Amino acid sequence: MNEIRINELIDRFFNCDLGGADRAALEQALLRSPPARALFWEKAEMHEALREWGLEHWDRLGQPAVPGRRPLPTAAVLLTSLGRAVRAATIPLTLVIGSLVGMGVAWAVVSQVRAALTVPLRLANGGFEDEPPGSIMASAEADRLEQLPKTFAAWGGDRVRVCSAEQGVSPVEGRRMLAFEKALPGPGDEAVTRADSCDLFQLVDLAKYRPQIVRGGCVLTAVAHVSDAGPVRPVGTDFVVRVHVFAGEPESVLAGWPHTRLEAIATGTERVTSFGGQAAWRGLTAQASLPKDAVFAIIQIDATTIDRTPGRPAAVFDRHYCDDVRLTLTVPTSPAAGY
Amino acid sequence: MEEPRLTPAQQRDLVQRLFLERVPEIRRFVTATLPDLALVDEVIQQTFKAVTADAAFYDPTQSFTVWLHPVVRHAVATVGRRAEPLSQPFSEDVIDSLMASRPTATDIGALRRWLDECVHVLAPQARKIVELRYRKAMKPREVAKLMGWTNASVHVALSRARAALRQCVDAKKAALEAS
Repeated sequence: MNEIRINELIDRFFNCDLGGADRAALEQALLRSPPARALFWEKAEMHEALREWGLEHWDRLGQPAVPGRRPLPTAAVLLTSLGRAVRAATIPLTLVIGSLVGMGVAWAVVSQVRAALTVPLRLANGGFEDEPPGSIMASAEADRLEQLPKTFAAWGGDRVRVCSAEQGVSPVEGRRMLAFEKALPGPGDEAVTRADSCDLFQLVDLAKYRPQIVRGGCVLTAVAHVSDAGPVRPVGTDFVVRVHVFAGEPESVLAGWPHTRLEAIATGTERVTSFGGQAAWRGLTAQASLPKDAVFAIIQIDATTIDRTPGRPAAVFDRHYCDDVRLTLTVPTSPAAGY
Repeated sequence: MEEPRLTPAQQRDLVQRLFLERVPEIRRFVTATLPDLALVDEVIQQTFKAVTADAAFYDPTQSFTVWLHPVVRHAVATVGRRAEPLSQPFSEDVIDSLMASRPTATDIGALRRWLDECVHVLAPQARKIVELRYRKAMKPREVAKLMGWTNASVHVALSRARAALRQCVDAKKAALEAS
C-alpha cells in the first residue's frame, strides 16, 4: 500500500469512518510497516493537539467548573446510566462511571467535554463496619461533651452508636450502620441544655493531592445516606452533610471549633428535612471547589432538631440513621488545568 | 539490603500518584487510538480503577510506564467495543505495535499554542467543523447532521483542515528555529 493510500486511511480512522476491508488493510500496514506507523504518529500528533486545544478552549469559555451534583447512584443505576450516556453523544452530557465494590472506589461524574478524573479518597470507616454493633462511636467525655477527632482518619462528635439492621432499616452496604442518639454541647458551649445537633466529624488530609489541587479546579465531594425511621412528628429533623475546607493547621482549627468554621476557605452543604416515617435511605451530597491553598477538610454529618422551643432539653434522636459515607476528589485533567 | 516492602495502602498511593502524573501522556495516547473522543475520559477512568485494583502487583523497582501499558491497551479495547463500528479502536495487536513505536519527544504543548493562531487561518466553515469535532467531541457524522452537510464533505473538510493546520504550525516552528 502506498503512502497516499495509508495517509487517506489514517485520516478516515481519525474521522470515525474506517471499517471493513479498509480497516483491515490499515491494521496490516501498521503491523508490518515502520514507515506506516511513523506516518500514523505524525498525523496523530495534530489530532491529539487539536483535542487538547479543544478541551482548553472549552474551559476558557467558562463552561461549568463543577460537575453537576447528584445523589450517589447504585451500581446498577451507574451501569445503566453509563450505557445511556455513551450513546447520547450530541449534547454535553454526564458520564457516570461505576464503582468497584470493596475497593473504596466510589463513583465518578465526569463531564464529556471537560476532562476530569474522580479519585476516591480514604475516609476511615465510612460504612461503620470497623466496630461491633452496640459500640458508642465518637464517645463523648462522660457523655457530656462533643468530642472532635484529634487525628486524621477517625470519627469524632456527639453520641452515636454502631448498629446492625434494626427497626425495619437495613444498612445501605455491609452489615452495620450508625444511629444518631443524642446532641451534646460543644466545648465551652454555655447552652448545655439546648444542644440541638448530633454531629459526626472526620478530618481528611489533602496533602497527598497538593500537586493536583494547586493546578486548580479540584472538587471535593462527600456523600452520605440518611434515614429517619422514627415516628411521624410535627417537629422535624434536618440531616446535613457539610464539607469544610481549610488552608491552615488542623490543630488550631480544632482548638477553636466551632468558631473556626468561619475560617474555612471553601464549604459545601446539602440538607434534607424529615418529619419521621421515612425508613428509606436518602443520599445527601456536599461539594466544595478546592482553592489552590487547600490543605485539609472536615467532613461533618449531623442530625439537627428544628425545635427552637426555649428551655427544651438536649435533643435526642429516635431511629435516625446514617450509612455509606464516601468521599471523592474530582481532578480536572484538561490542558487548561495544567495537564 | 532489601528495600522495605510497602504496605498495601502505600502501594496504592504510589500507583495513584504515578498515574496522576502521567494523565496527559495517557490522554494523548488514548486520543490517538480511540477516534470516538467522547469515550476518552471513560478509558482514563477505567484505567485508573484498574491500576488501583491491581496496585499490589506493581513492582516499584520497575518502570511504571511499562506496567501501565497493557492496562491502558485493555481499557481502550474494552471501552472501545462500545463505540460504533466505524469509530472503534484498532485491534490490541496494532495498539501494542503503535505503543512500541510512539515517538517520545513530541512537543504537543508548543503545537497547541500555535494552534491558537493557526485555527484563525481556516475558513469560517472549516473552523466551525474543527470546533465541533475537537471542542465538543462530536463525531463527524453528527457534525454533518448539525450543519446539513454530507458525511463525505465533513470528512474532506476535517482532513483538509488538519493538513492546513499542520502546514501552518510547521511554518511557525521553522520561523522560530530560523530566528
